[in-house]
Amino acid sequence: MRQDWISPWWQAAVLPDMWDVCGVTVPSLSVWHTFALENIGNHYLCGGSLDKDDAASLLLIASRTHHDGLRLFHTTHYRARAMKRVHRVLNRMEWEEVDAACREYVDSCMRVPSRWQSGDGKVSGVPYQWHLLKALSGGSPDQMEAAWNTPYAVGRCMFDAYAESKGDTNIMSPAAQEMEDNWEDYKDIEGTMKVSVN
Amino acid sequence: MAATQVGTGGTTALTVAGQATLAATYITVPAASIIESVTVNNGGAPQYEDIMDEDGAHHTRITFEAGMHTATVVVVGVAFTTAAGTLDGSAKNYYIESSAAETSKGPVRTTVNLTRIPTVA
Repeated sequence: MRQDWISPWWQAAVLPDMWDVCGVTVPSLSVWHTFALENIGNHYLCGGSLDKDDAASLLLIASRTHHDGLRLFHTTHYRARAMKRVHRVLNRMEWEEVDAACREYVDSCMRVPSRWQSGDGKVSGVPYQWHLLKALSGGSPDQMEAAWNTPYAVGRCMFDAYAESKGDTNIMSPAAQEMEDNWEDYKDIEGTMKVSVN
Repeated sequence: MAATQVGTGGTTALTVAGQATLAATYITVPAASIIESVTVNNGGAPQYEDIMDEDGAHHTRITFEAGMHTATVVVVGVAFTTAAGTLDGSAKNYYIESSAAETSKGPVRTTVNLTRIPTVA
C-alpha cells in the first residue's frame, strides 16, 4: 500500500469544519449542499463546461445551512443580491485560480468509499441524499436539520458502515480501495502467485 | 490484515492442518493481487503467518484447526478466469465449484468456491 495514500474513511473523519475557497468561508459540503447543487444542475457536481456562474452558485449554496439556504430558493431578489456579492469576490481572481480552488473543495468533500459492482443491483428510485437523510435522522423530524447539514462524506461513510453491519458485502476494503485509486501502478504487473490448499 | 499480500510473484500457501499428507492443490492468481479473505466450512479461527522462502519469495500461510470440505477464497486484483470444475494443482482432491467476479473502476474482486471431491476409503 502506498504510504502517501489516504483512505476515504480517514479523509471523511478529518474533514475541516470550515474552508476558505477563493476568499469565501464555507463548511464542508453537506448532504443538503450536494442535493441542492445537483438539482440546479451545477456543473461541478453534474459535469459539463464550467464557468464563474458555476463557481458562484457552488459557493453561494455552500455558504448557507439548509435552513438559511431555503431563502435562496424562495426569494428571487435575495438570491440575486447574494449572487452579485459572490461574483464581486470571484472577479478579483483569475478563472483558473477560481476553478482549481473549487475543484479541490468539491473533490475533497465528495470523496467516498467505492463499491463493487456485481451487475445484479437494482435501480434506486429515491435520490441518494434522501437515503442519507433517513439513515442520519433515524426518521425523526427533530433530527432532520442536523441530517441535512451533516458533511456529505461523513454521511456516506455512516451509511456504508450501517449497510455493512446489515449484511451489505459490496463496500470496498481500504486495501482494495487503494488498489483502485492507484490502479495504474498495479494493472500491468505480470506474473502469478499460487493459493494452495493442502 | 495479515492475509493480505500485494506481491510481485511467489506463492501464497494456505495450509490446512490435517490434510498435510495430500499433494498440493492450488489456484493460480495474478501476482498483483490481494487475498481479501479465506473462509472454510468448519469455521474456527485460522492462524496467519507471513514467511519468506530461502529464495526471498513472500508467502502467507493460513493454518486451520481441522480439515475442511469447502473453502471460499476472495481475491482482489487483475481479472482472472477460473472455470468451474478445473483446478491447476497436481492433486485433484478439490475442484472449483463456482467463481464470480465483481468489477470497479480498476480491480476486479473474484470469489472462488472450492469443494473437496468425496472419496471412498
